[in-house]
Amino acid sequence: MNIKRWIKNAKIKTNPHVNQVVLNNLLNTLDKSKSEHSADVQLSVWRIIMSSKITKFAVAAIIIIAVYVGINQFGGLFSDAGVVWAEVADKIDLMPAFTHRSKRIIICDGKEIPSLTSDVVTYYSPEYGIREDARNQSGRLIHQVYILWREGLSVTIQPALRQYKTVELAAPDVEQFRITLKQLIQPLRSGQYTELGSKIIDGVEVEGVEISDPCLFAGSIYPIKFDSVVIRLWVDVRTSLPFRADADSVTSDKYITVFTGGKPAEVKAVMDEFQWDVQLDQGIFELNVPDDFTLMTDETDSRDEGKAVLGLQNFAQLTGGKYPGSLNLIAVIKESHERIKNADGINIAGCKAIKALRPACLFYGELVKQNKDVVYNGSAVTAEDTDAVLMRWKIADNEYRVIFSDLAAENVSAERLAELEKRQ
Amino acid sequence: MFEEKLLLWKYNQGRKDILWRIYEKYKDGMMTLAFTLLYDKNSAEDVVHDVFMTIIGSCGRLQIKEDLKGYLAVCVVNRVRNRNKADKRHQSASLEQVVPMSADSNRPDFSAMFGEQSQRLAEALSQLPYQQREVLFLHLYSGLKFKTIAGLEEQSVNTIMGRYRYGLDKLRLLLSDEAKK
Repeated sequence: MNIKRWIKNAKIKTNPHVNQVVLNNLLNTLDKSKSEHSADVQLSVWRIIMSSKITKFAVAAIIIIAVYVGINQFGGLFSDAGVVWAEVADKIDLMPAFTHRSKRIIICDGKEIPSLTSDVVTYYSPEYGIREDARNQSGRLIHQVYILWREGLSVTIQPALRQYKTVELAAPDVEQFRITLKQLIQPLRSGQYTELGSKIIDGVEVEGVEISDPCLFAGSIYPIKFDSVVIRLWVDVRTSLPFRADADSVTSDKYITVFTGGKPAEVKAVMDEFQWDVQLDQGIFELNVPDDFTLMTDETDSRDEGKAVLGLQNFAQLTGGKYPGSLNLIAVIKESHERIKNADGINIAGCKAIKALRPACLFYGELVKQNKDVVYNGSAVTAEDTDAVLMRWKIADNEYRVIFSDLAAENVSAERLAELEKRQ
Repeated sequence: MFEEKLLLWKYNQGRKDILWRIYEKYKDGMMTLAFTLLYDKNSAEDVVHDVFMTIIGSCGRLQIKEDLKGYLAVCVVNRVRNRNKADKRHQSASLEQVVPMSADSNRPDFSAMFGEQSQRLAEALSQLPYQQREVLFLHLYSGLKFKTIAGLEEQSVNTIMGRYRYGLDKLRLLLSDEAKK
């Protein structure tokens, strides 16, 4: 047996069912893009032409010339033109959902802090938002970031502290929320980079640029702020898509420096394993925060009963008299997203409702922390109920503060409270 | 050859109407390559499917400079390697340590996939280390030059040619041993 000939002519029997499934996917994809009527017309014309012997050779000659012209005009098969960086920027800008992994190392005083070394998976969806999961070397989740377009919120979760924090986004506009790769679009388009040449990484030929812009990430809503950032972006020359990015940065953000005794830290990251144009399920962007996690707050955050009541009032106005089922902010976020959508699916009203409820959530959280025997009945009580107890908490040995369904507030005795609650 | 160039030119123009033709022309070859590297039919189908869906999605955005067959072969190899790397994380084995599959003459896959006559050769091929198998198929089957393969694998041309020679020698040895039995 001639081994070389066998290998050259090797052919396995493929699964016709699988072939058909793949072909159907192809055809469905073509159908979806059939707004290009000219493509259909051209195909029909092609078939007519090729059925005629006389025209066939003439057409072939024209095509050969056209192909030759096309190849040279578009720098095709034999061009040694490299990566066009503005094109890379366009691809990143227009890219639908993608994912990638990163490894991050934090260094202080020249020493790596092993407990902060993390492996990160990032999911980006133009429809739902961004999610980032960071795990330490033992595989334990050390932080999560959700940036949610529809809810207009950024949520950062710290499992080790059993806390989370929220930041309202200025407007639910995707274009504003550039993070990591998307931050590079402007420098790539405007030529603000230094070319690094080409090399091979993991068997892939890449070309690279270095971008060093103190304003990089300045407008980002990523929870950590950087003093300086240098990124080396390596792009696959075949696809003109990022293959790997190395980032060196310095930060004085307290989110990091809380672990370094207040000293600035270097953050080094390598981003790779990009998966482009993937299907990301909405479930990936659903918040999953345990009920006993508490909201991280600034000292200036108000824990005021008056603002809490005002927040509940605003929420009820937006929802036709209903109160949130819970004063856990994460539950509020999920509930608001489901309940309040405008025609475009952009949850502007929901964003307002979440913003309105924040003081109520903070107030409620403070009461829980102080063991004030607080009970909230928002899932069972509406603004139209009469004399129903919406929320109550203990203020003295035999005395409770009650907020009723109409948001009137009153101090009552324990016995009176028992009577009220019995009626509900 | 001419059709390949035309398909490539049309693809680079973003002409989606030729995607079906690309699929028809190259699917069997890609499947053969993927199966020979993975020796798992389902995984090979997944790899080929993924490559095609990427090709479909990139039509109009991607500019392929080299020949289409070679490009698709490289895509298949890269996906296979990613798959092996993902498995490696779970099994704590490096790519170099991926052991060749042990042959079992009664395994139905080889006969079903390659036909009765080629079963012996297919089984012998499965006993080669992955890297030798990869070089043999990329060079002989997909038509890639040693220099291109060397670049792909970040190795010297001599290393690649060495793997090629050792792969062929081992195949001949395995087949002659089998004949003696």
